[in-house]
Amino acid sequence: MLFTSDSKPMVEVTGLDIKFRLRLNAENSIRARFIELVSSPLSFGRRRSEMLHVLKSVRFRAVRGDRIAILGRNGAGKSTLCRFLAGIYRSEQVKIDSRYQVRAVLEPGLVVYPELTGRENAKLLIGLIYPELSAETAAELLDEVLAFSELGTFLDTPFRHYSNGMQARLCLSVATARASDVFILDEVFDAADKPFRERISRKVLGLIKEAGVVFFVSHTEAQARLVCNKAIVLEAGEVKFFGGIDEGYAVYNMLLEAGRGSVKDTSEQV
Amino acid sequence: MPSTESFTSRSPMGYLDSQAPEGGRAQSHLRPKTIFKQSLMLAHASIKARYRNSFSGYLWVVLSPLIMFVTQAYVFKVIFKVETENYILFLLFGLSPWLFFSQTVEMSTGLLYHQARILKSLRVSPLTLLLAQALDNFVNSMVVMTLALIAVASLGLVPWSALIFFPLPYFTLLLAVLFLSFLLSVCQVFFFDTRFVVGFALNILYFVSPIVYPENFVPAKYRFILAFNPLTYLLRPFRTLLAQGFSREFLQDEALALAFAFILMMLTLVVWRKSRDAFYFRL
Repeated sequence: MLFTSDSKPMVEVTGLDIKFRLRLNAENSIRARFIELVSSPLSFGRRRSEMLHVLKSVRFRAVRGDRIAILGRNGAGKSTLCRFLAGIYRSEQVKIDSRYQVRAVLEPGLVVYPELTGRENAKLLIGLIYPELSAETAAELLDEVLAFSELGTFLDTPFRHYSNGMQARLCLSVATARASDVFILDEVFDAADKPFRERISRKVLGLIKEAGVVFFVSHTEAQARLVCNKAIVLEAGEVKFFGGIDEGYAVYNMLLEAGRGSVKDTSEQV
Repeated sequence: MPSTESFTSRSPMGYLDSQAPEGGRAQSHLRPKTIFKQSLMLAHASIKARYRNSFSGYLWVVLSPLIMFVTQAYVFKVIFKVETENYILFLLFGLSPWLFFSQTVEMSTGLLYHQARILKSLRVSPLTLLLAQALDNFVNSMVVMTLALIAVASLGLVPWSALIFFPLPYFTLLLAVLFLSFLLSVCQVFFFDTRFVVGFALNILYFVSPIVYPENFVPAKYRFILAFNPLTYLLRPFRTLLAQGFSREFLQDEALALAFAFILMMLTLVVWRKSRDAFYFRL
């Protein structure tokens, strides 16, 4: 079944099916492979394996204005789906027109060179996240980002001396500096301290209004309800529901009740 | 704990040649211009991070290969009495590229593994990080080589054409080392002891490559070792340039080295296309 919306989709996922092959009891070293080859050459490479089914024929369409909460337990495939949507993992089953700008905030504490200062790392992150900007625009953006981070004199301190909260402040300030057509946020607000979390939340809400489509992962229901108008519920890599946020949470809570305390096994022997 | 071995998809993951579907296209690749621009930015930052604008830092860049060079010159020229015309220059044209090659390979092998958070969170090509590392070492090596060549060319020990054209074989070496590093750094993600094997292999490679001795020192029956050693072809244009300046022989050797770098690039592309998805999931 293809979950559809009425207008032309900005994001279309058409049967994303992802499996890993797992080798049981295998040590991932050249040394171990060499010993295996020498000691039992006939059975080399014929070890028992399992397939881990990470995403199972995921299909949905998102149109302009959709703000979609991705709900699911740990290991349900939320982060994997986010990385496909962000274009970090690639598949021809994930279709986003190349005219649309896609930005993702998947990691709150990124550092490029810990020896460099916060200011220098922010400049590098701008170069990596917004490569299309001219030098002048990037310099203006850097000033905005540094002002928003409110790190003051710490900006000229080596990044390796930053606390987790300070790292999150700087990274989130950079990652949320510009609006985009497709905006993906994966559990990124918890790392910052409370005052900054409130400020960044307000800023992100502004960006979300400007964005065409938003994908939002959060374990905080109130936050997801504040941001999103739709939900996609993942269970063991499978889409169990795609639709309104209220119904989405009803399905999600039902699944949580049904499988409380367990993480569903997604592997199959091959 | 089971290990993730490979990645499969029910549908073929033909993202590199995917067709534009109705209503949208598969996500685009990062443009080479973007990769190059980001690499230059990171290489500059890396140099800055290492030396923090200190004079002693820059001095060390020149001193460390110089100490290595003097030590090797003493061992092979004075103790082992290697009889080759202009041996000191011969050594310079072998050792300097070798140091660039071996340092880049060693530093790059674990690079992608250690930068997993960046690769899994930002749309940054692994090639960007590897090129930045290679450019960082390339700049250091070129600075040292240029200073040394200006000195010896002023004394009339090498033709001035060697000073003008020595960046050519260096660029070829940069290409080769970049793609070799790509292969090894991908391998490190799948096999955690790759960097130890690489360290071991580099030690062996140093002795079986014509770095401190000329090719004609190797007995005829063992020449096959040189023939099968890719580094022979990458080092040869440096020596031809030293001996004959810019000549037909130099261009022939340079073309051969370039062909090897091209083969390595194609091999890397094939391996990357096959392992890309598994690489990201293993990272």
